[in-house]
Order: sequence, then structure tokens, then C-alpha cells
Amino acid sequence: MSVNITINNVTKKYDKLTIIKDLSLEIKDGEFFTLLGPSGCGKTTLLRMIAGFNTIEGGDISFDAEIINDIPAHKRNIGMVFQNYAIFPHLTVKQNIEYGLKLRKLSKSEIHTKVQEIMKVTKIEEYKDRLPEKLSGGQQQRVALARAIVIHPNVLLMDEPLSNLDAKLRIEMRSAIRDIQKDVGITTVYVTHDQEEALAISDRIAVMKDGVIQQVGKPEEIYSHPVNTFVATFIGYSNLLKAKVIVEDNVSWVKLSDNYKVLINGLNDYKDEDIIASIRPEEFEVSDKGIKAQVKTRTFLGRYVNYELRLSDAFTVNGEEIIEVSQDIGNARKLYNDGDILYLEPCTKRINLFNKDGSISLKGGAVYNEE
Amino acid sequence: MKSKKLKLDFWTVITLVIVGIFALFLVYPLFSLFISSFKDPVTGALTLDNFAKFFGKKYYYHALFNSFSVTTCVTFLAIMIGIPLAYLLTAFKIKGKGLVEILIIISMLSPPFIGAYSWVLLCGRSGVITKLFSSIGITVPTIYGFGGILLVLTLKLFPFIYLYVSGALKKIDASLGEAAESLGCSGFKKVITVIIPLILPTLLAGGLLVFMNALADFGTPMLIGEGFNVMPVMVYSEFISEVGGQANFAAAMASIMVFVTSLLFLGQKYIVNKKSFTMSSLRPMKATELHGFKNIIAHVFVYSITILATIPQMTVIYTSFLKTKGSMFAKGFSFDSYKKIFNRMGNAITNTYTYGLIALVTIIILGMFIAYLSNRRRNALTGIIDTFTMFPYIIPGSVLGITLLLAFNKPPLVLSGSLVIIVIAFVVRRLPYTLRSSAAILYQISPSMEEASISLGCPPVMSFFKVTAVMMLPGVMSGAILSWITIINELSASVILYTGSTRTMSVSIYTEVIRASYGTAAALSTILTLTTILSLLISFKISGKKEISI
Repeated sequence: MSVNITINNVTKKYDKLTIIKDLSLEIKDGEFFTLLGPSGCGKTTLLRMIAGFNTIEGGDISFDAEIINDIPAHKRNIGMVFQNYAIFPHLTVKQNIEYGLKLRKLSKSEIHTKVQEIMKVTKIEEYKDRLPEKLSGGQQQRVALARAIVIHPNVLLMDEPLSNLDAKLRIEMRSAIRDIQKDVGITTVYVTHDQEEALAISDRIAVMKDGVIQQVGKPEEIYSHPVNTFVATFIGYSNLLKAKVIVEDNVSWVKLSDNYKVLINGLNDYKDEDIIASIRPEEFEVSDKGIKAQVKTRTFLGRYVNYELRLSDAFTVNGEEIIEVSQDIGNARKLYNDGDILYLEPCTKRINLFNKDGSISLKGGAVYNEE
Repeated sequence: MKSKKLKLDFWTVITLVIVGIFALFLVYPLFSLFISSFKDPVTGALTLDNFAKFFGKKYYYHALFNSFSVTTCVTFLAIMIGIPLAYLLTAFKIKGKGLVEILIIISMLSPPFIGAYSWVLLCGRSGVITKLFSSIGITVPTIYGFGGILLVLTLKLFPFIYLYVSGALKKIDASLGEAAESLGCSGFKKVITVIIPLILPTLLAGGLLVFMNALADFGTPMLIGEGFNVMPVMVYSEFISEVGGQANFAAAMASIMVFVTSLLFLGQKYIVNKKSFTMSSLRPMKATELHGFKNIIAHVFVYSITILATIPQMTVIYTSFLKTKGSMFAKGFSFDSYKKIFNRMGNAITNTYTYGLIALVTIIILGMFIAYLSNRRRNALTGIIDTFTMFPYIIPGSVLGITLLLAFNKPPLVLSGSLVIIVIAFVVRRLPYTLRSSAAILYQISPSMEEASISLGCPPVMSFFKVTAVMMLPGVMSGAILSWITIINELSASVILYTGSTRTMSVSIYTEVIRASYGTAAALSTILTLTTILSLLISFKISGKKEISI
């Protein structure tokens, strides 16, 4: 039985230090929901509050309509997958998976069927009598997942479960986790600091920083319409350029360099204000006009070529003159060499604009809690 | 919310129980000792007379000086023997290394006075070697007094340095030595500039252990000290002679000893905290082969030290099978001594094992709980428990015996002469080994193991027993084996606490030696040694490792 989770103005304090303040969130039944943020942003703290391993100093968390603040962890019926898997080393794979079922006083045959079933789903049947030390990282990961799911928890909580795996296995396991989660249809809260993993695996993502949720949305929304420069730069890479709004004859332009401006409507209210233009490396096109830049280094990455370019008449927010531009090998007409001078035009539809300190999006593209 | 705070959960109860145990059996007795050291024996008024008496008479304060001089020399010699031995056995291929290591461990784990008395058998006034040499007109140096104590204690205590240092050497990554060599520093110079600094914190800890052991040792100076008076013997004899009257003067001397050991302990902690660093060795040093002259020297050194350290054990085992006439040895071999001890001293043997087992079980339970509390449930109370657990390091065995006897020989709680008081002494003295190994293993177990169990629906206390405790056991055992072996060999506290019906093997050996009944003493010692060896072998078998951790 899966539930939706309502987090209502929760606060977490360690002594006098407030980690999370008045945080609210709604996670829907059956959803794969990810808490994403840099280390120290409070994402694991929040997950452990849902699990019951951290106390709640204010507000409340409910599963469906029931407030769970005072229910101890072992009675919340959660399934949890830990960063280090926490598989009991003294029990075999099968005994690990049975552990939670035995506590639920199910009949022997029922336990047997459930364990068989979940081992099939997670593809670990052949290792059932092995001790955990004889398993690879990916296999241990599957055991941890099977053990958490087999008890039919209300919610599945995962704390950076893939961070101990190598790059290739991580990609393999994330689709396995995704498939199993959809198969079982269980509400899942997933914590990670890896934005690529979050984009690939989630139904929705909450981006967190300093205990505050910056933005909640579907992966594509967060990527294309970040609400502030933190989200723009944390999810994928964004070049942040200093820009200025110019209004001529009631038409608004964004001036990116002394000699180049682009037409973007609807900015009349910001006339003559300094703003930030956020443009991703793949949102530039080489042209005969635009921002002037010189190739500093070229990095060949297979599908892409990445250029580091030195600007001569435009400025980035952090004061460096370097921006990053990528070129899709598939439709590149020409590769450029170090020292080449080129002109770049951003794709105006996809450009994101922010106020001077980067805290507010000017395009209204961002949607916070869109429902 | 308020009612929740008042609710006593399992761990709060355990914390309170442990604090209570320590307060009753450690803090209260120690406190009574201090109080009594400031009391006038006749009037009971507070006074400094007892201390004035000690520092006023050369006979008394000289004992403190003697204790210090012999202890310092023992520590120095133990280090000088322990380091090269550990380095040679770790860095180079030595033939028969396994056997050498086991022999060294056994010589460490036997009671020191066994060493003392077998050296008496060999080099004493009517010893085998003494007689042999005097028949050809050579006088061997006397085994009695300063030199004898130095010899016996050094041979008994250098294994501590050896074990500590070889443990530290195993943690040094081979690349560090190689780095030194690549920079042009090798051989002896490498050892001095790289290896020794790296093991220095460990060496300090080991050095302190040796110092404390030597300072507190009672059996050896009692047997062979003769005119050479040291503190533990002085405390003991003053206490024994004053029992019935007041033991205030003995208490004052004991307080002085505790004061000195506390200073040393705190000093060592301070230095180690300042100097400590962590090392993780991915690739430990590999033993290489030595050639020619160096190879011979290395082997001769290792073997002669091992033989010297093992001689007491061998002498004891040999003499235990000699035929006896009264308490004299006769020609030929027999089981006389064994028959005698089984007839006369059967209860000493059973006492040793029953008391030992009771103490061991208590130690394991306490050790696991305390390690868990101070690692996972930190609060003010567990902080107090942490401090209490330091006490056994600073209280010499004979002092502990006196404090327990002073505190529990009168109502409301009379324990003197009972099994309980001896078990308490065992537990207090030997808890640190198990506690340390419990804490070490717990440090390696991720808290998420227990959380995983809780998340699967298992209540927290049950999760501790089903998951954490089970995972801790192998680690706990490595310390428990040491606790066990040192329990059955304990003398300095039990010699003060025993009565005829509660005597243990160590105590009986001591009393037999005092009565010059060497045959029975040897037979008892042999049983102790065999128990020690068997326990070691069983623990090696279970853990699959041929080493003990201290």
C-alpha cells in the first residue's frame, strides 16, 4: 500500500543550529521523487525525518492523512536503502531479505513466496545462499533494494544508493531501480547530489540549498526553466553573462555585448536594469554576428566538442572572461582550432534571464509547485 | 511531550545501572581510601600525619624512590629489547617466526612472580645454576634485589612493547619506507628517521603500560626483593600488619601511588593526543631475506631473547614433574606434586575457573554495553562512565584490593571474604581489554546497520541484540581472551582479598612459594600455563588469526 507524503512547515534543529526551517512539500502516491542538492543542503536530514531517524522540531509529516511525527521508525512501515547498503554481513542474501518479513509474523510459505518473487524481480536468485561479502557492489545494491521492497512499505526511502558504485554500474543500476520502482508502484523518495542521476531517474525533483527548497518540478522543467542562477548552474552547466535591458519604441532588447543585443519581448518593466543572462553551452550557435570570442582550448568528447572561449566585448558574472560552448559533432560544419575568432548567437527561445543578483527569474518560465 | 522525557527507555536504565555499579564498586571505595588516608588512626580526626610519617622516614620514602628507579630501568630495557625484536620479525624473514611469537605471548601472559620464583630455582642461593657454577668456583651475580627484579620484570614486560610495536609496524604502508629509500635514506637511518617517529604514539602507550605494570607489580619484589623495598610491597605489608587496627598509613601510601600513576596517565594521554595521527596501510611491509653476517646476528638476537623469556616457564614445567620428599625435590620424576594439589588445593583450581568465568561474562556484557553507550548514545552520563573506565589504568592491583577491603568489610555491605569481592576486583582490573576491543569493533560497524533493522520493523533494543551485538562479538572476543588470561593470572588484588575458601591458583602458587613448597607451586603454575596456552589456541582457532590485540 503506497501513500502520498505531506510535509508541512517542518523544522529541524541540532541544538541551536537550524538545518531546515518551515519546509513544505507534497509527494504524490507512486511518484519517484528526488531531493537534489549539494552536500550539506539538508536533503539527507529531511529524508531521515521522513524515516523517523531524525526528530522533528516543528511542523509535521503525514503519510496520507495520518501524522507520523510521533510514530517510531520501526512502526512507520518504511523501506530504506542506505548509502553503504547496510546489508547484515552475518546473514545470507536470503536471510537478509527475510529479516523484515519474519518480524511481521507471516507464515513460512508466505515468506517463501514473497522472497522468491522479489529475488526474481531484482535478479539475485542465484546468490540467495551467499554471504554479502561474496557479492559485488551492484549485487549488494540489489539485495538492499529487495530487502527494503519485500516488506511492502508505505514509502521507499533511498539515501544516495548509487554513490559507492563505479560510473558504468551506476547508470545500469539507476535504470534497474527505476524499472523496479515502476513495477512495484511504490512512493519513493530518493536523495542524491548527482544532478545527472536525478534528471534520469525522477518523476519530479526538489532542488535544495541551505535547507531551503529552491525549485520543485519535472526534470525537463528544472533544466529548461530554472528559477534562479543557483538552479541554473547546479543542474547542468550554464554560462552567466552580464546583460542589460534596453527598451526602444516599446520593444525590449537584451544587450549582451557592446555590439550585440537580442530581441526579447515583455521586459519593458526592467528598462535599463542590469540583469543576468544564463545560456547553456549547447544553446549557442556560431554565426557571422553576435558575441565575439576567441577559442582558448578545444576538448574533443566524442559526441560533442567543447570549447573554452575567451570573450572580448562581453562579461561573465564572476568576472572571468571564459565561457563554455559545445558543438554537436553530428551537425557541425566545421571544427575550430585554438586561436580562431568566432561570433556566437544564443538561441533566444531558450535563454534564461535573471535579476541582477540571480535570485529571480525574469521570464516567468519557472514554476514553483506548479500544481 | 513531558511524559515522554520521563519515560525510562532501555538504554537509560542500562546507563544508570552502570553508573551505579561504578559508583559503588570503584568511586566509593577509592573515595573512602582517600578519606581514610587523612584520618588519625586513633582519634579519627582529619590529619596530615600519615603523609608526614611517609615523607619523614627514609625507610618509607626510599621505597618510592626504589620503585621509580627500578620501573624506569625496566621500561627503558623493555623498549630497547621490544623495538628491535618487533622490527626484525616484521621487516625480515626469521625462521620459526610463528613459534617465536607464541612463546613471547605466553611469557607475557604468565604471572610475573612465576618468573621470579623460577629464577630463584635457577640462580637463587641453592639454585641449579648457582650450585653448578660455585662447584667450579665461579660466583654468579645474585638474583635478589634490584638486579633480579630488573631481569624478571624486563623479561616479563618487553612482550608488551613487542606486541604494540609490531602492531604499529603492520599499519605502516610499505610505500613510506620505499619513499625514504628513494630519497636516499636506508637501513638504520631509515628506521631512526621514518619508522620510529611513525610508531612513537604507539610506543608511548606501550611504554606507559610497561611502566604501570612494573610500578604496580607486587609478586616479583615480594619474592626476590629482599632488602630492596618497593611501594606495592610496602603498602601490602603495612596493610596486612595493621589489619584489625587502622589501615590509615597504608591508605596514605596507596593514595600516593594512585596520585603518581594518575599524573603519568594524564601526561601520556596529553602527549599522545598531541602527537597522534592516523595511518591506513594498503600494502603492509613485506618481510625480506637477510644475508650472511646480518642474518646470523638477527637470528641469534631473536632466539636468545625468546629463550631467556621462556626459561621460567620451562623450569616451572620441568620441576612440576620432579619427585618430591616433603617440600624438597628428590631424584627422578613423578606426579607427586599434581596429586598433592588435587588433594589439598582442588578448590583453588575450581575457584579460578568459576570466578574467572563469572568475571569474564560480566566483563563482556559491561564492555559491550559501555562501548555502545559511549559511541552511540552520548550524553552527560555516558561521559561520566567514560571517565570511570579510565580508573582501572591508574589503580595498582594491590591498591584496588585495599580499597575494596576497606569499603566492604563493614555494614551496610559486607563482601569481604566472599566470591563477590574477588569477582569485582577481576572485573574492574580486566575490563579495559574487552572494553577497548568492543569500542574498536563498534567503530567499524556503521550505525546504518541498526537503522536498516529498525526500518524493517524491528524495535531499536531488539535491533541492537539481533544486529549490532552479533556483529560485535568477534571483535569483542579478541579483547575478552586477554581479559580471561589476565584474570586467571591475577595476583596483586586477590592476594589481599582471598580467604582460605576463596583462594585462586595464583594466590595458592604465591603462598606455596612463600612456604618454599616449590613442587606444588610448579604444578599449579603448569596448570595455569596450560590453561593460558589452550585459551590462546582456541581463540586463534576461532578468530583464524595468530595474533592478539592489546
